[in-house]
Amino acid sequence: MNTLTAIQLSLLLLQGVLSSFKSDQLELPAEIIADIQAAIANLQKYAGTDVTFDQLEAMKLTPQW
Amino acid sequence: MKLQSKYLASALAMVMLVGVGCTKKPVIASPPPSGQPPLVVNARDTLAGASGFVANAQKQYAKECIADPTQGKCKYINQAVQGINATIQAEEAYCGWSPATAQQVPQPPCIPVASAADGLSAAIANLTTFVNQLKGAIQ
Repeated sequence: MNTLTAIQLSLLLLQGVLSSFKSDQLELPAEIIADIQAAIANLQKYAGTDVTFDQLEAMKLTPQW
Repeated sequence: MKLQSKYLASALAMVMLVGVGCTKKPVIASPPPSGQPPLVVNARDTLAGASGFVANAQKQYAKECIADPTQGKCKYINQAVQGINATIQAEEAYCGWSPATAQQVPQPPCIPVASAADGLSAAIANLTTFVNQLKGAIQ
């Protein structure tokens, strides 16, 4: 198992844990679940790729208030 | 409730400590595809997780934070935004990149600037703190 496969497996397992929070009686705030899922999605988007200037610039955020 | 906190802490730790939040011994990290230094790749992965997390929080709380930006979570979101942008700048500096080098074709590779390593590590440590504070505020 290479490192990338291990990462993907870890993320898959984490998504499984999050799904169990959704379906079980455990009360985890939906906002937190959504935030973590967004973090995972963004991580999956970049994992295993070369780091570039454009990539970093795309991650910048702007204050909304 | 304790169980929830335990799982949540583990989940967030996996996401947020993917990279340099845990610089000495990352839990998981992307393999450097073209031999890029682990610090560079781990910092990017940490930024990716944090950026996704915070961008989603901005959307979730936009309505109430625009109405009352003095709320704790609204402040923590802005603090995390600043932490992300500062970490990006620190990573770009570590790689020797700037808006000027970005105009070059092809773009120059990341050539680590040793003197900028501490700045990048400090930025990541701050970012990890900011995201943990935000997590605590919205949990």
